[in-house]
This record gives sequence, C-alpha cells and structure tokens, in this order.
Amino acid sequence: MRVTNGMLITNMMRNYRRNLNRIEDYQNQLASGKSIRRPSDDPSGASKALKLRSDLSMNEQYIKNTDNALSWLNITETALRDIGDSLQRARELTVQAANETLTPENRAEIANEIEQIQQHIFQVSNSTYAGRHIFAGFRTEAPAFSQGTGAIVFEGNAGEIAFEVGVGNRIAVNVTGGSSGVDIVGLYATLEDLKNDLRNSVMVPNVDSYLTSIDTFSRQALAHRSAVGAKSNRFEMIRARLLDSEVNFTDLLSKTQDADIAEVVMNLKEAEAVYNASLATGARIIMPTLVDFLR
Amino acid sequence: MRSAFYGLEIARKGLRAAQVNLELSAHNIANANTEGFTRQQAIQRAIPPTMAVSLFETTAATRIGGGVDIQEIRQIRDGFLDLQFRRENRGLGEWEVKKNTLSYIEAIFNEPSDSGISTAINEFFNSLQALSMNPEDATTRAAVQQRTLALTETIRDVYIKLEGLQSELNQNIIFKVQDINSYATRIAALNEQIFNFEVTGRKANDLRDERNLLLDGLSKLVDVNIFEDSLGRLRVDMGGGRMLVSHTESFRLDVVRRSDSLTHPQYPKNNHVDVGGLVDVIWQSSGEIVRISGGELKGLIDMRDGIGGTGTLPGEDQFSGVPTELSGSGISRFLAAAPNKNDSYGVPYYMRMWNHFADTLMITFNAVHRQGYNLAGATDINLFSDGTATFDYSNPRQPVARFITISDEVRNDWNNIATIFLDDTDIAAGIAPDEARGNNKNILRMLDLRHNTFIEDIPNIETFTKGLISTLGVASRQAADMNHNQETLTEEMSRRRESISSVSIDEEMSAMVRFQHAYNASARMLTAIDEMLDVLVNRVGIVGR
Repeated sequence: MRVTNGMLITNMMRNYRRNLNRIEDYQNQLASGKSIRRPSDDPSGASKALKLRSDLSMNEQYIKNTDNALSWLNITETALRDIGDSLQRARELTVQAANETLTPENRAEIANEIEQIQQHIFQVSNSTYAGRHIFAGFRTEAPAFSQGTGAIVFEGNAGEIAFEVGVGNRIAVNVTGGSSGVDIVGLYATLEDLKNDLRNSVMVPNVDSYLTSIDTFSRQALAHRSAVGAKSNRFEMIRARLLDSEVNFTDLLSKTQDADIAEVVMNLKEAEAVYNASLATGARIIMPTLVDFLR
Repeated sequence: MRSAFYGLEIARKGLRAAQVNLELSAHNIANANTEGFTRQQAIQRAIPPTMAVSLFETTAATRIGGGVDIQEIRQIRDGFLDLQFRRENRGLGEWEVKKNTLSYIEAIFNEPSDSGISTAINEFFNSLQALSMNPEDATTRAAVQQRTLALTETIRDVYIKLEGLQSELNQNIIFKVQDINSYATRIAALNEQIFNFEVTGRKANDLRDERNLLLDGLSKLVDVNIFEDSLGRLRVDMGGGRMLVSHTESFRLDVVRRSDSLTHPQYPKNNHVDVGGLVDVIWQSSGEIVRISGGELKGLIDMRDGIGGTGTLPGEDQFSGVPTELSGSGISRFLAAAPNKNDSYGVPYYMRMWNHFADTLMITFNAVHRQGYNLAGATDINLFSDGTATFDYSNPRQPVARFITISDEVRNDWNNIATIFLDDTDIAAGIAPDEARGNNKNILRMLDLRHNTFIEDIPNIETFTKGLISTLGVASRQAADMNHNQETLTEEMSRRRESISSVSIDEEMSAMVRFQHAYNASARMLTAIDEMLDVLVNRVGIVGR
C-alpha cells in the first residue's frame, strides 16, 4: 500500500483523539466513582441500578414505617400494662374490702383508692403517640374517652389504622377502646359500682361478682397486651429483614453502578502509557522527508 | 532523408517534457496539504517516426521516433473508492446525528442520578408513606404537597425540554435544506465550468477536485447517486431517483410548514405530540415531499418524527380511559388517529411515552384521590390538574406532560389531600368521613398505584421508568456503536483514497531529481547537436581555402 506523509499525520491525529477519549472516559469514572453515568454506558446495568435505587428508597421508608409502628405499639403496650397493674391493685383492694372487720371509714378509704385507680385508667386510656390518641380508632384528634358523672364515654370509633411495612404488607397497629377492643367503659363502670358500694353500703358488698368481672377485664387487657407484644415481635422481625435487605441492596447497587477504582486506575495508567507512546510515534512521524537529504 | 536539424527538435521536446514534469511536481508539492487535492501525473508518450516512406530512404531500419510528447495531465483517482466513501459517509451523517440527539435525550432524562425523575417519584411516594403514618399532621401534609409539586415540575421540565429538542431538530432540517441547495447550485456552476474547459480536450483537474469535495460534503447530508456521461456531463440524483443537479441545472428543495390538522391531504401533522411549526422537505418545483433515505437529513427527520411505530399507538391515538376499578364506571377517551408515519425511535417516541406516563399518573391518582375525603370530610377533590379552570379529571388537556400540575385545592390548602377512605367495614361500623382524621386508607390506596396502575401498558410505575430508560440506553448505545462503525469505515475509505490520491513528498522529490536529470541531459544533447552542426556548418568544405 502506498503511504504518504499526509496519511501518516491523519492517522496519528486520529489515534491521539482515540487515546485521549479513553483517558477522558477513565478520568470521568474516577472523578464520579460511577461506572454508569448515562444509560448508554450499560443499558441493562442502568435499568438495574434504577430498580435497585427505588427498591432501596422503598426499603428505607419501610424501615421508618416499622420504627413508627414499633413506637406506637410500645405506647399501647405500656398503657395496657398500666391498666393491667391497676386492675391487679383493684383486685387486691376488693379482696381487702371483703374483710368483715373493716369499719365504714376503712371501706371509704378503699373506695377513695378505687377512685384514684379509675382516674388513672381514664388518663392512661387517653394516651397519645405524637399527639394522636391511640385508643380512639380514626378519631385520633380528640381524647378517646370523656368523663361524665360516674361514667366515661367512648368518643372514638372502631377504625383500624394500618401501616405499610412491605409491598402490599399492611398491619393494623391500633387497639381501639370501643367494644371490639378493651372494654374500658365497662371496666370504669364496674369500678364505679364497687366504689359506690363501698361508700354507701354498711354491709360488705358482694365481692365475688366484682372479683369475677375484674378478672374478666384483666384477662381481656392481658390478651390484648400479648397480642400487641406478638405484633411487636413481628415488626421486629420485619425490621431485621428490612435491614438485611438494605445491606444487600446497597451492596448490589454498588456492584452495579460503582466503578472498580483499582481497575479503573489500572486502565487509566495503561491508557496513559498508550497515549505517551502515540505521542512518541508522532514525534517520529513528523520526520524528515527526502527534502532534508537533497542538497 | 531526415533533416539535419531533426535532433534539435527532439532535444527541445525532451526539455519541454522535463520542464512540464518539474512544474507538475511543484504543483503537487504546493498542494500537498490542500483538502480534496488529487495528485496529478503527466502522461508522456514517445512520438513514433513518420510513416511516409521517402523515395530516397533505403531502409526502414533507420527510422527514429520524434522524441516525447505530453499527452495529458491526469488525476490519480479511483472512482470506485469515491463511490464507497460517499456511501459510508452518508451512513456516518445519519448515525452521527442520531447519536448526538439520543445522547442529548439521555442528558434530559438525567438517569441514573440523584436528581432525575426516579428520585422525584421515590420522594413523592416516600412522602405519601410518611403521611400514611401521620395523616393529621400538617408538616407531613406540607411535605406531600411539596413533593407532588416537585414531581409535576420534573415531568413538565423533561417534556418541555423534549419539545425544545424537537423544535431544534426542525430548525436544523431547515438549515440542512439550505445547505443542500447551496451545494446543488455550486455543483451545477462547476459542471458548467468543467464542461466548457474540457471542450478543448484538456482535463479540468483542479476544478474536478473542487467538485469532488462538494460531492463528498453533499454525500454526508443526503443519499446521492452520481453519474457522469461520456461527454462529461454530471447528474446528481437524490430522494428516490429525482434529479438534484442535471449538468448545469440545479433543482431546489424547499420547506413547507405542516398543517395543524392530522388529516391535511398534503402536509398533515404527523403525531399528536408534535410541536407546532414542523416542516416537510419538498421539491420546490412540484411541492412533492422529498423521500430521503440517508445522510444527516434522514437522521434529523427520523429523530424529529420517529414515534416508534405507525398506526394506533398506546398513549398516542388512543389514551387509556379511567379504569373501571378506580372510577366505578370505565371512562374512555379517544383521540383522532394520527398519521404516525415514522417508526424510528425519535424524540416524539419519548414525548409520547412521557405523556402517556403523565396521563396515567394524573388519571389514576385523581380517580383514587377523588374517592377519598379531606380532613373536613369533603370528597371529589383532585390531586393533579392541567392548570385550567375548566379541568375535567376524566379528560385532561393534552399533552398532559406539558400541563400537569398540582390541583388548586391542594396547592392552596394541604388539608385538602384526601387521606381518608371509608371501606365497607368502616361504613358498616357507622363511621362518618368527618370523624376519621386518623384514617389513612386512601393514602394506602394511592400507594397501591405504584405497583398497579390498572392501565394496560403501564403495569406499574417502576417498570415503566425502568423500561423507558433502558430503551433509551439501548438505542443510544446502538447509535453510538453504529456511528463508531461508520467512522471506522469512512476513515478506512478515506485512507485508501489518500493512499492512491494524496501527494507523497518523497515521490515528488524523486520525480524532481529524475526530471532535473532528464532536463540536464536534454540540454546536454542540445549542446552536442549544436557542436555537431558547428562542425558541419563552419568546418566542412574549407580545406581549399
């Protein structure tokens, strides 16, 4: 093939350009730390990275959601424990009140303590989480119970609030104070009757029936408490799984879109060497022609 | 019997030939770096002896030729390589344009990044998730309001940039048409000059170089076929065998603005999404649309008009209605059929898909949002709107992607975000909308739309964006690869052309030395004959003096 000076120079320029392009590419990868900067760099990798990013973002949100659900359940559990403890105390007091040696004054004191327990249960039943009344069903903005004379009234409804902790995975977090949940209204009424009996009756009240109903309410509270506990465990497990997924997704994403620095540096060095070589060749190509030897 | 001065004439011709060759080398060297220059060579031939037999000539063996003659100055050029170069150059023009355009579209979508559409979508859904856990809270509502606004802005921004790109491509087409006209005029003018010059029998080498350079340039713009007849008249055909240049006459192209109607008999609007002011390239004389099958002009037209199919296309001719699952009664919307003439994947394809996405988002979210209740217990509230006062959620203004925005209700008061939805259980429990502030069921229903939009060809939002980005990536990659191939091919062709046609300084130097010697030798010959004649004229016959 006939080779002319012009061809040598055109070739040299073309190779310079090509080598510089490669260097630019590697430098971009190093500077951004990403091997995929636009979809055409690696179409399937780019769409995989997109999916992983949105998975990761969803996963992070689900972790937040489980944290929220756990806090909500913790407050519910604390409230139910308080109610359970209060009922325990009320039971002790009731047994004590059955003692026939008690004077009416003694019984009145017991009645006063029962009243305190009532107040406590009323307050605990209006517990809030971030300003929301947890036992009120959907009516979270107002206290779940209001107090009238000798009775409390449930102001909420049976609404079930669910949190999403996975795609399509929704778990109700609230226990309502209405008839479907813990029957606080009935509980309060029973204690009210007991209190009034202790105050008004000269006789020892019918302790057995009170004990039976207190035990029923205790069991109810305990049942809900263990349900809440079981739910908490479930959220804990979901949370652990989500945290695992986060690690996996992050790892996968990094493998998909991050540049392997060591490899890129090696490639860059190699490209630099080639570039230097092409410069050196260039110096030789713009070499003397026959002109220089014709004198 | 030959003349005694015959040798002088031969030597003179030798001198002349050497001189011409030296001058030709000088011309070649002077143009060594001229673009498009083809090296020239003098074709010389020995002059045969005269055939006339003289009465006094005893034998034919003593006949001698008449020296040397320069027959023509010839270009060293291979027409076949020109043909190949121009064919590959046409492909290069087309793919270069496509590569650049698709690469620009990639920049518009800006994925994968932390500021692209997928981030906007993720943040929008995450804010909804946060709201689902705290539907009464003002700050969480404000966050949803802002994320919704940000999402619509991102959608509009991408769409408006795509529209801008389509307009730019259109403008570029107009420029290229002017370029082609200018090429045609110049080629026709050169044809005339070359023809007039060559009538005398000489070759118009340098004018031909100029014309070849123009033809090379033209071959990158459009698909051209070039013919030269035996008389040296050149014809340039393009667009399915129509003449662009016929010898000294050129036929002009023109552009005509397309009608805004999809059914215009001659120049209809091609696609629903097209911006206004697009032009068709026509023959000025007949008004017929030029059929272009290659070159930059084809690249530009494909990118400007390509909608990824012809006939009825999802999100183009027939928009999805409001799905029955969401509205209770399916609401259909139909648009008039568009011509959709170009099935390449150009800017309109991405506009169509983007608009379809925006449309789906608006229709489905509004349908769900309207079924929910705001904090005050009101219902039938839109989340998105097209920005008009007469907004109809079941038939928004098209293209949705250009107009989509947050509804006025939600923009003015975040309490209007309809978080509350009463399902059958709630209704059975006798719960009224205005006493259910803690209800988050409508948010959960909106979150469901992420994974199921109920619209046939957009099964879910993630798959859609992922699919669009990967289609774009593959197309852009392919264009870049094709462009690279064409570059390599044209480079190879032009290398081979250079190998034959370009000036080699070394060769010219050797030629110079060769012809310098030839010149010297002919001059020496002249001296020898001169001496010979001197003897004959001045010394012969003076013995007796």
